[in-house]
Amino acid sequence: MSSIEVKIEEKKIEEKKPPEAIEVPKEYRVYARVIEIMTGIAVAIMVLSLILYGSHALPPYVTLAEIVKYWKLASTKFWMILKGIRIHGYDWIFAHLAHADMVGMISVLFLATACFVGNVGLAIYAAMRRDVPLLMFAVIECIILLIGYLKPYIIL
Amino acid sequence: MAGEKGVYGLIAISLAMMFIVIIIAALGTFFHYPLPIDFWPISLFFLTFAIGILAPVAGVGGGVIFVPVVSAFYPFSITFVRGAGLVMAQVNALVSSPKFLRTGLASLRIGLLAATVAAGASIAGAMIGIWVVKAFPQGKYYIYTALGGLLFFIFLIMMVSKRVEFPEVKEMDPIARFFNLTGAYYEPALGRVVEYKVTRTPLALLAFAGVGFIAGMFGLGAGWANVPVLNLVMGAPIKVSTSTSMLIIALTTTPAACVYLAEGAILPLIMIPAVAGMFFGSRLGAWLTVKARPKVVRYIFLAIMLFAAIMDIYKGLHGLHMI
Repeated sequence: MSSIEVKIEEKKIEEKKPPEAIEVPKEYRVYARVIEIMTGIAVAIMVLSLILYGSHALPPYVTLAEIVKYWKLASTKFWMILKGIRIHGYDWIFAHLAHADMVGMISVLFLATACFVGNVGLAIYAAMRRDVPLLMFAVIECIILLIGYLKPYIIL
Repeated sequence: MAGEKGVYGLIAISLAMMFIVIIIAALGTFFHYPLPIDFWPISLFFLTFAIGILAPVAGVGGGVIFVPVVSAFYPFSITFVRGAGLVMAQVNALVSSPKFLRTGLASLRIGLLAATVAAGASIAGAMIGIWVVKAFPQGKYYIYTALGGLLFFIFLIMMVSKRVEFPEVKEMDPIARFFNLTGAYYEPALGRVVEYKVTRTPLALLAFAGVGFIAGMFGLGAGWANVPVLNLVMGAPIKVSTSTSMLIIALTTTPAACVYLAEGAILPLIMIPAVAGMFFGSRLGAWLTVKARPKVVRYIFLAIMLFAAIMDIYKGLHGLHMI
């Protein structure tokens, strides 16, 4: 077989390649799996909180009647008038976990950590492979996400 | 034929559902029509369910319709709407990103590079957005007016922005070369693997910083801006651009959503029905998009966006006693 024939044959094989045959880098698959698991847990918690709220199994921290009364207010005034509290951080969620609506807020925290966990995994993988650019991305992104999470505690 | 009728029927029902919910909400908001309190969360579910079905058909993101419509026609403070909008965009992006990553359609390297600037800017945007409402007595009206103006800009981008299926990139810039911003995916339309590389990274990073700021400030997903930057500035194929945009949205909305959460600007009884509706609706919408994509839905969506923009500007200027 001449080199031209080999090239044509290779091209034909490449053209017939099904989507599954594309070699997606391992880090892509790992990142996708982490995001999928974390998001799945978050959505499940969200559905659970809806069930808890709908079935009256747990009372809400803020009732719908209270929300309707004050929802025109900015968030700071809303909480101050309704509960007499100033919200700054995440303590208010953990302090009221016996309420259906606050269970739903846990799902937001899970969503928030999905990308962080993915980036930590990516950083470990990149360090093992000595992939400097990927390691830089993952570490910088982790730092930015940490700033986002800890913003209420580091910037007052 | 019957199947096609069913698809168009579903689109028509979704449109009708969306309009009915908006009209009833507007009656309650503007004319103080006495509505049962359960109407509000239930209507949010149906509204976002309909938006979730129609947005993929219209080729626009759900958040870019949700935030303007709810801020214009619902009585909630705009801060709570932006908080819910961010979580909604985040869930949508996190749910769709894994499948794009597995097929090689989304580029993790490009997504992470864009997100390093966009995510940082989104934190700043979220902080300023909340600070404006807190610090100024009429702060929320500034946000309404700015959101309305921004929507006009988004409308223009959506009308004039072109899409290039496979842009030709002759040479990569030094940053793209250093970070190895290349990739490949299988293109069924061509029956072969498409390899791509990108260019003009510094300019794109500057644009992503601006987009991130806007996303954080207004609670929008910002796919409307990410896609043109990736496609027209960096030269990524359109499918790679739309898929990578979802990853960027996931990474950008995450820290911004935390800022809103830590300020108590996310109310579960507004956020959860909205996210649930969008979650289920977008699944149906993704299926529907494969069957039919009537252009009229896109025009209707753009018209709604324009009307919501006018309403937001009116609300803002009226609140500032300028009209």
